[in-house]
Amino acid sequence: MNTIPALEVSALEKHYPSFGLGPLDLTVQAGSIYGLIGPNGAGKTTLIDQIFGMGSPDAGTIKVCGFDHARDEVEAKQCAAYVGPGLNFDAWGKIGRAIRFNRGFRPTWDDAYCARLMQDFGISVDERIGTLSFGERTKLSLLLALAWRPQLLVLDEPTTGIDAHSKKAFFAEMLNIVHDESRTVFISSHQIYDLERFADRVAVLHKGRLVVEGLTGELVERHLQAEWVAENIEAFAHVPGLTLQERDGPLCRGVIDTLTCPLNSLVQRGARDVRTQPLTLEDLFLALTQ
Amino acid sequence: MKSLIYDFLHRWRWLFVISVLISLVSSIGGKPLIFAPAAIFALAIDAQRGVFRAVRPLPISQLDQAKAWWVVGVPLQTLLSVPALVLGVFLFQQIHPNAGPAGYGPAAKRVVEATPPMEKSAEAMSGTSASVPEGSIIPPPKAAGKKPPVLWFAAGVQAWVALGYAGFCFFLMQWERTRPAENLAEIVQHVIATSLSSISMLGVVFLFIYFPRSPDAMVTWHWAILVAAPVFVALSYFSAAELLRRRMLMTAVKTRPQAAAKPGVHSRGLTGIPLFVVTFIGRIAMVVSVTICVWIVTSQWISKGDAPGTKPDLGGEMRVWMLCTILGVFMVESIGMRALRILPLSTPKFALLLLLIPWTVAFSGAIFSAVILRAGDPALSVWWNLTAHSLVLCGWVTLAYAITMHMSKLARLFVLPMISTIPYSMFHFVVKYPMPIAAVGFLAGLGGFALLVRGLRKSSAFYRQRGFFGTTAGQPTAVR
Repeated sequence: MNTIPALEVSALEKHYPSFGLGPLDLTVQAGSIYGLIGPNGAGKTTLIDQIFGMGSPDAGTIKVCGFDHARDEVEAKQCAAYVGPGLNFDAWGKIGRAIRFNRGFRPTWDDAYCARLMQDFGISVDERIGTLSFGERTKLSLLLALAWRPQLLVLDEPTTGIDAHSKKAFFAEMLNIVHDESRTVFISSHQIYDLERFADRVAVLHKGRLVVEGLTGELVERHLQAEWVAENIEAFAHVPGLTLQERDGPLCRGVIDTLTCPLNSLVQRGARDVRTQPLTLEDLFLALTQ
Repeated sequence: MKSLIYDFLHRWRWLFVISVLISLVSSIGGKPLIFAPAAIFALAIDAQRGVFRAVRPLPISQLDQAKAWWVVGVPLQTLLSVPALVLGVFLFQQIHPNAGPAGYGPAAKRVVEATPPMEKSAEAMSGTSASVPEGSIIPPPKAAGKKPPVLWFAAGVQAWVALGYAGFCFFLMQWERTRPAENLAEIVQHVIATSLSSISMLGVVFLFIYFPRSPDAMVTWHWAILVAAPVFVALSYFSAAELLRRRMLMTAVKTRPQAAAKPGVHSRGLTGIPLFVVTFIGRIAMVVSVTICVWIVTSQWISKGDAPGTKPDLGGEMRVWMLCTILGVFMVESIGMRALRILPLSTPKFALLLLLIPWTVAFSGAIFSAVILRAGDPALSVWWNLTAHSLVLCGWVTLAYAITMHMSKLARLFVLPMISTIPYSMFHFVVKYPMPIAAVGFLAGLGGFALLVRGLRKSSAFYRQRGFFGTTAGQPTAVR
């Protein structure tokens, strides 16, 4: 097992006139699938762009497989692949040429694996890239990222626009990557249901900051949807680990993190008729980012 | 239909204000000029951005939509500019009651004054003022092939040619590439239409500047253009519906059955950077051909009179330089930056990879001016002149690319030509002082390279979707 984290983000900050990312600390251990979720404009793509040098952070460091992303940019990119929006291969004309171009930069390129992926994704070398649909372009990006077996695969919305068959093939590949070969996948997605099934750890990014982070199962287990009745509502206004969602007279509704806000702490503050129910990752995401 | 026209006018009002001001100021200066490409250029940008598709579902009939695009693309610019031309000419006549256009006509008459002996003898040697008594008024010298023009004629010709030019470009637009070609016929069609469009778009500024301003200076080809103008206007009107239909077309099906992928089938041939170079050689050759065509059209034809002894306009080499700068940047902008940035290349190497294209275009321009046209300092060998031209052009194209990459908005479409006029205006100095100016070009190149590396590292604008220059930006080309 590789002890060097696949991705290590420390005190990262990036500021634009209308948006600020961070300070952000995040560590992705090697051999895992790490899911990053967040609403539109939360800063997911900004974070990923910084990893690959598409803009530089205002503060903080990023290490990819132990390499500083700025100082050792070549080494960092030799171990990390990227799939995301705006990858435009039109200049190469045909899929075969795009593959040949990328192959020249990747000594570990696996032709047989590439051919198998092409069959799985239903694309061929003679097809013109300009005639590909959005989903097929995503498949091409995935193929170019997967075929050289990178140590870290960074995926920004990889399953948007691709059909159910290809999505299934993609997630199967992802599982192969991490379980058979001890490599790492860092995936940013709106498909929370998929992440809940496949990701070992997830983090929720909201307005440029990490709201919650942890093992997927543990996160879902430790958060509960709670409803209670209370006369003194102000007592629940700023309780750590409690996210108030709704108030209707004395009836309150919220999400509690049982690690930092045990149920009895609600009772101590005057809550009665406390009822709880488990959450899905999607419910948790909606509650934390509303 | 009216709402589409008003909307177009509203969105591009700044461009129309500039173009009308150009017409007004040039007319007041005695040299009426219409900035003809403004409206058709704006329409082309709109088409690229998918405006045709966006307004398609509106409750406006297809015919009315087609008519609206024709009105804004063809007659609008002339209709807006003509009042400015008329006002400008009127003002010019008020300011200079006895004058013709600048440099010609009665205003150019001069009073012979007492001149120092040296100047007088020089004039006598040139034979222009021999035996003319002091104080007498003499007409301007009649340059070969140039006679005093009629100001109103000049304004009328500009308006007429602008109308025809817009019609020609609008007519061509229907044949331009909006989706990948699916057979040889489409490839040929796209190449012809794109080449003609490029030549007309790029050459038009020179066409209007150099188009004769008096009936006497007109030669057969000029009259042919005037005759062709209404033909193109009519053709464009009747092709408007077809243009709209073609712009709505999508690639419907795959053209061939998918071949089963075999291991290694894509592993033959060049890969990596050599493949990058080879991929762009064809496109660079096309850009160079377009540049040469513009040079031939503007320098060897448009500005050349048919009087014996008339020399071709020598500004052609300068125009080649300007076009090389613009087209070099234009080409490299169409590459997907994000797809290249993720490759394991250091930032300086990545910058060099990107600059390979504009440098090749610039070097081709330098070969054209220094080796083929032999422009340069005659005291130096052709190789030294080539070195000087290459340094200036490559230096400025590097700087132009670095500056325009920092802008992802459409403003760069206007900044780029402004930067490109620098080597254009430096041309005469390069001919006179090749080495010092080459050093300036070299420094500009170094500065541009540093700026580019900095931008690649720090600027997010480099990696944003770029409108218009990217070939299919904003316009979905295929939906299945």
